[in-house]
Amino acid sequence: MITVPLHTNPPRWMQAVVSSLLPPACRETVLGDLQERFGERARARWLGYAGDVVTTVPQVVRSQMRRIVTRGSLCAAAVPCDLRSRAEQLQTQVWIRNAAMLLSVLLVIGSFLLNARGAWKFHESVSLAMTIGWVGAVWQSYAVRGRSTPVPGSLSRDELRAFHRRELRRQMDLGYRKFVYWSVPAVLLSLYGLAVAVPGFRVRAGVMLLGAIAMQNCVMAWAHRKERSRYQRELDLLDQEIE
Amino acid sequence: MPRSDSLGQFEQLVLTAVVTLGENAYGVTIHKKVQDLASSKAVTLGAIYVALDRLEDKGFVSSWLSEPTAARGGRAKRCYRLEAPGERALKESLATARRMAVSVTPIWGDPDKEFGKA
Repeated sequence: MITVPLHTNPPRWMQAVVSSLLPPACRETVLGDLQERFGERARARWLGYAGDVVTTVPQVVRSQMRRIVTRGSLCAAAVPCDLRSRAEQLQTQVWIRNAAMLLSVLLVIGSFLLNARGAWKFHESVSLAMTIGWVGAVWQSYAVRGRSTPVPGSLSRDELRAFHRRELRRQMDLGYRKFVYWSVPAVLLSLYGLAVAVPGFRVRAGVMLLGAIAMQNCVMAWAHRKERSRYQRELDLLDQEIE
Repeated sequence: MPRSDSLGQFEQLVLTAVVTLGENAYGVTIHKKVQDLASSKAVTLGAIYVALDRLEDKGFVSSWLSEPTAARGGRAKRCYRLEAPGERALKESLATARRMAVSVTPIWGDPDKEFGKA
């Protein structure tokens, strides 16, 4: 009698792919359940397994995200990002930039202290999210965009001109990237967090907040434009002197 | 935000499955039981996990990891048991459903005749 070996395991490569997609917290149990169902099927096992994966993995990931990311944590992550982003735009007024950066640091430290004393009614993930947001903001400030460069004192005319050209290009680049990378996600996160976390936060309050943010952005855009004009003027002056 | 203690229909089915399966309540068995109970609707395994996570967050069920078995490739099962708040919520839902049935049956007749007994 010829016996056909019964494959009770899904292909290894398939399991490896599914395993990489699943969150670690439920990886073992979900993979086990999927394998058990694979073994129970009499035919079309691979197809059934693939169907199970398609219908299960996205739901499991979504559920784990819902459990990990709280509404408060979303708000908390957005606050330092937004503060830092806005502070950066105020490069002409150093004390405001410093104050905003200090405020974001105080928020992070304060939330930790309140957590430690048990006086903070949010989950500790708020502190964690705030820290991640703040660290991300600082990293972005120093690593991605680079420090804001003061005008060097001892430079030849050509070097000074090159410096101003670089700075002008950086300033022009800054406005667009800053808006896309920081302002939009931060505002959306804040709005989402407020809408779901604050009882009674409805369209009217949302429109008012959006209006305030839009006005603030207009002021920032104006300040940015002024800064660009200053660099351009200095550049023109240098060009005239050389000619 | 305050969490609701009331149960949705799907949550009622999952809790019923957990109660009836006893110590053997884990993903695959709960899915089969819920599929039996909700005979007219297709239920995915993913939906079961989502409902179980939600019920666990509400404190209606608790979970623990069992010993690994060969049929599962040496992987453990996450077993579920009903907790006191879950039992209370399910009993409340059953009582409500019974009251609804008592009120509606004289008008519509016995719904079991139309949809079959579970």
